[in-house]
Amino acid sequence: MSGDEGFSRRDLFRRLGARGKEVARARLEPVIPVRPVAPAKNIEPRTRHRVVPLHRPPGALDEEAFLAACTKCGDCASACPHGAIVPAPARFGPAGLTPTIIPMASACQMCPDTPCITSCEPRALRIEQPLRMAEARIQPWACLAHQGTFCSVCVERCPVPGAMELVDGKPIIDASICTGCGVCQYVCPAPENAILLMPLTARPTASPSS
Amino acid sequence: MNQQRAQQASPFESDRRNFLKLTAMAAATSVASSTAFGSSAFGETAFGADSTDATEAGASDVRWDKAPCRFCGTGCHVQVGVREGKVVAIAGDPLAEVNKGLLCMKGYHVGLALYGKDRLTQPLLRVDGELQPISWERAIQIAAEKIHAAPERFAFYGSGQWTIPEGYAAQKFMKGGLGNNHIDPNARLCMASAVTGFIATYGVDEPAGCYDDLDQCDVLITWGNNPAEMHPVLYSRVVDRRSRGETVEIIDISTRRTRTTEHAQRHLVFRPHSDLAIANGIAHLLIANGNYDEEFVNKHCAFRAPSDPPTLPGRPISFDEYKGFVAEYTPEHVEKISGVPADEIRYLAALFGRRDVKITSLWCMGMNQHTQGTAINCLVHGIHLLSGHFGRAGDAPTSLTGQPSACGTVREVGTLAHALPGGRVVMNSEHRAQSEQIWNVPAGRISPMPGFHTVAMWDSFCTPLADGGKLDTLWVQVTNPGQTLPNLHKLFNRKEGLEDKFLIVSEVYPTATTALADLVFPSAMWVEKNGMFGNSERRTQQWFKQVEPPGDARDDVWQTIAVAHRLHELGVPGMKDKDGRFLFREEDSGGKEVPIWEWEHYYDLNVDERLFEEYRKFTRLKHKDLAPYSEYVKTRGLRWPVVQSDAGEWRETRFRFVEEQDPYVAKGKGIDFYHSPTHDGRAQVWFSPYVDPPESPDEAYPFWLCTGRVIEHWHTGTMTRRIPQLDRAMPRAYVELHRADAEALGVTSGDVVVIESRRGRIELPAWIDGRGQPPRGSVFVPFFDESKLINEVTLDAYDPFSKQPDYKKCAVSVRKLVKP
Amino acid sequence: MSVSGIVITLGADEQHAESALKAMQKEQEWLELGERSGLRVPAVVEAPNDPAAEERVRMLLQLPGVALVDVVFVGFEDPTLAPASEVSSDPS
Repeated sequence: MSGDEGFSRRDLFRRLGARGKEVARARLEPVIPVRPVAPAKNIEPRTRHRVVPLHRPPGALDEEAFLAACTKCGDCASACPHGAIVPAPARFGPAGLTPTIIPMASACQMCPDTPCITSCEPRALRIEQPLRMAEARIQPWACLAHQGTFCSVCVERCPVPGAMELVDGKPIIDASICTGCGVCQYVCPAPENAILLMPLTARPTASPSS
Repeated sequence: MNQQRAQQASPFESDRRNFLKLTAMAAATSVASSTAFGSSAFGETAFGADSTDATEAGASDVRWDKAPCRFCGTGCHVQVGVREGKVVAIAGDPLAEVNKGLLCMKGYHVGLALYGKDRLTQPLLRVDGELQPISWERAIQIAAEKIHAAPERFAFYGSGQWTIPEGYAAQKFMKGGLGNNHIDPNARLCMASAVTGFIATYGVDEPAGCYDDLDQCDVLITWGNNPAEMHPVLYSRVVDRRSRGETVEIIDISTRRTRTTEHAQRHLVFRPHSDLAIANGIAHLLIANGNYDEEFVNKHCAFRAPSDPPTLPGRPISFDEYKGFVAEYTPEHVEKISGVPADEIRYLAALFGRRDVKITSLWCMGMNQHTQGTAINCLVHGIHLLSGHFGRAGDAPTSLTGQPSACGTVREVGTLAHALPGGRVVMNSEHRAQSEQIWNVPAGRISPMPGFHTVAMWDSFCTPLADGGKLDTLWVQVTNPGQTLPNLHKLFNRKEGLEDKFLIVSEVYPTATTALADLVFPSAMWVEKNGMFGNSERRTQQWFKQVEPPGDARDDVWQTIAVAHRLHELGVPGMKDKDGRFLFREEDSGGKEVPIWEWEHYYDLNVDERLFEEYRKFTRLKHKDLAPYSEYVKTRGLRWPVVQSDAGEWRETRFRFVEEQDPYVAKGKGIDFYHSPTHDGRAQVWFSPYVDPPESPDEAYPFWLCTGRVIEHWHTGTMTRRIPQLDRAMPRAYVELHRADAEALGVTSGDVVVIESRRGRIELPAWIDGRGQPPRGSVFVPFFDESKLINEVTLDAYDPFSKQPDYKKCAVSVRKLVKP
Repeated sequence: MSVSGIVITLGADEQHAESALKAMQKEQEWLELGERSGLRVPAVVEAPNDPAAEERVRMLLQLPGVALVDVVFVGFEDPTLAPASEVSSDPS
């Protein structure tokens, strides 16, 4: 009648809990948000295409075209009712001060009327472009539900119908529907944020006529 | 996402790979070398604004120690990491039997509960409507003077979050010092009906089983219970068995679909209040089908029914009378009352009729916050006894508590208006004499009259003295009645503006309660002080102070003793013991008094240990023996009775009343209910009829309202809402509606609806097909949100025996908010 | 092919940390270590697919001396949005 075998499946999780012992941080620091990746000082982008991807607002043109079109006017940021659009830091070179989203600070809420796109006069953001901004992935080793305790926050708060669902109590992302808005990352209460969010490295090029 | 896995590396592919590798290394390098690692873009530093670079400071200077989690009654243990006087890390404690290293989403963040930006750090006095900082000296003086002016009009309101020594100090101060029994806890709102249920059935409080039952049962029945949300680690413990190939059938009997239901094989949705009919229906079939456990009943049970006038012990009845009473509850009749299909009742009864399955019942607020709470508790114990599903591992009726020390402090120390420590009651002269002897106070010090229970206490406090109010000064510790009392307008908000009422609140954050406080004591919390908790499975737990409280915040025990000592100085006779010494006198090893009422000397000795060792003397009467303090230091808690073996070892008890498990059951007895109310070793199988609830939906208020909790927040959210990760995950309250009701009201998810009862109204966003799904005609609202006080709407009707109010059902109207 | 940028945080015990580093240096096939900064080591993990990458991260976590592994970058692109010509253009 002993419960000693309890949780035997959770070797990994137990280690996740216990490994903090060794290093002094189970939650020593807040989650490392998966941020837009800044280029390290000693590594030059090797091609114009190979700029480090930024989390752009929805409907952004291909990065090259986007940088050419964006006037850094800030209208999209003013139009965003959630304050989710912020200027990129100046150290991003040509991309400095262009609009970006830091989902851990404030995620895109996928407004049905896309005020950011509507406000973009230079048409760097376009409604005919895919709204997709990034690719979200669940890291099962960090996800509370995947590791055997109860959580469904990301699925409940996901603003894109069908992008996430709970299967057997565990969240799953449908990559074909997910726009990478980052709400799941913003709301994730796991001790190590379980959502990996990568800005798209490539977006489709809009036809020149549009 | 995996489509692009080309098997052969093209030149392009390898070029792209190099690029990706460079980018990946750049990203990793920038994070690894960043001094901002840990301070995130959103400006919240989870632990410590001073955390510049954790790795540079190194990990070696972090000190780890154990503590039970601050939040719910499950009693998980965490490992607390402290560096430079600050809690910097929390990890699940793999050595803890309760949680085996696992935590729930709240537990992982429990350390952050200490570091909300608005911690109270100095005593505050309301002057001209505003709370102004004052010195501790003055604060203690003012409190003492208020109490001194009219000790009989003073009341103490505490909680199941009181540590054992905190509750014990308050208990001794009131009943042993002031001779005043007006002390009651918020646990009255939480598990009082479980207490009366245990006492009416077994003659002694608290579950016989323990969490080990969850590992052993074949069937788990959740009665109006949602452990997936409220006791997630326990429910994980059950659900996880399936992944190991074990079968455990979960049957959820509830008034709405919840996260718990998702893991259940069967879901029985009943009309609010009709759980009594379901239990009676099971009992009827067990007898009618002849598959009750006749041998168990003959040996170990007696039968009872409500008396007239109603009393907790009720009246004895014969088996035949019992059989006659339950005969009315045929499956079809039960279906008519409850809405649960007759065949489901038959299924349940057949299950209980089987000897080869082990059945554990779990319940918490659903059965306790019930105007027939005592009755339904008794009935569920009754069907376990009648069917012999008792006393084997996995066969147990077990109630859970919502607070970390509802059992350890409230139920065992007895911080209730009628109780004395160790299962004693003030009405019993022997119990009073025993308590007076241990406290070394003169005979007759303890009043034989029970004090005000919670609802009566607040009603009286909110009534002007001129209109018959009996209380004028009330001291609240470790809880938030301004949010949790039912019918808040009547029981709390009414205090505002009453000149002759004085509210003292010991708190860690500004709350709905401090909003009306006249005097605020800033308190130390959790690992800022020594403490002991007792969880839902009789497990007593201990921890040491690990960090200093912020500013001038101080321990609640100290506050109580400091006020007591000031009263002593003012000449209040009750603050002296029989020998004329201070009631809370503590001496050093040389016999010299240590002035523990002075903060600088409070930690000269371990006051917790002293109080606990004194309290231990009370625990033998009801065979709830506790081990010495030092034993709890060594363990992650021990389940009482903890009895010393001949070899000198302290041995805990997993299953009470069971031979070879419980040291107080004699050899050969098998099972012995040695505190039987009938003094013959028998437990009582109760009959109680279904009766209508005090308020049901009608034309004006056509919906049922049920209130409850969510996994992200604990209690009134005063701690969890200050933890950014939890606040983001669940920022505000909502109302769950059935889709068809929502459509009829023209409401979609996110629309604001107005919920209104005869007592109050509230506006909330709707959530349809969300985490919980109430049936048609019923809505659910969580109570954690200070900005959306659902208790302004709830009903203050309560159970006649436990005096516990019913937060689970009242009648409301629901409509879409029309903006002018 | 999956490419991940990770930050390995070593434990405080220097002896364990050293042995972990040595063990990791043997895995050049799929693990590229960057310049150590305090207890942190940036690194790149390559794997044939995502599950394999996760498995490799787990392996690292299990090394005595490794306290944490944080994944900070995953190199993945959606081919439907990134035609080959786009990705492979301009080899400067």
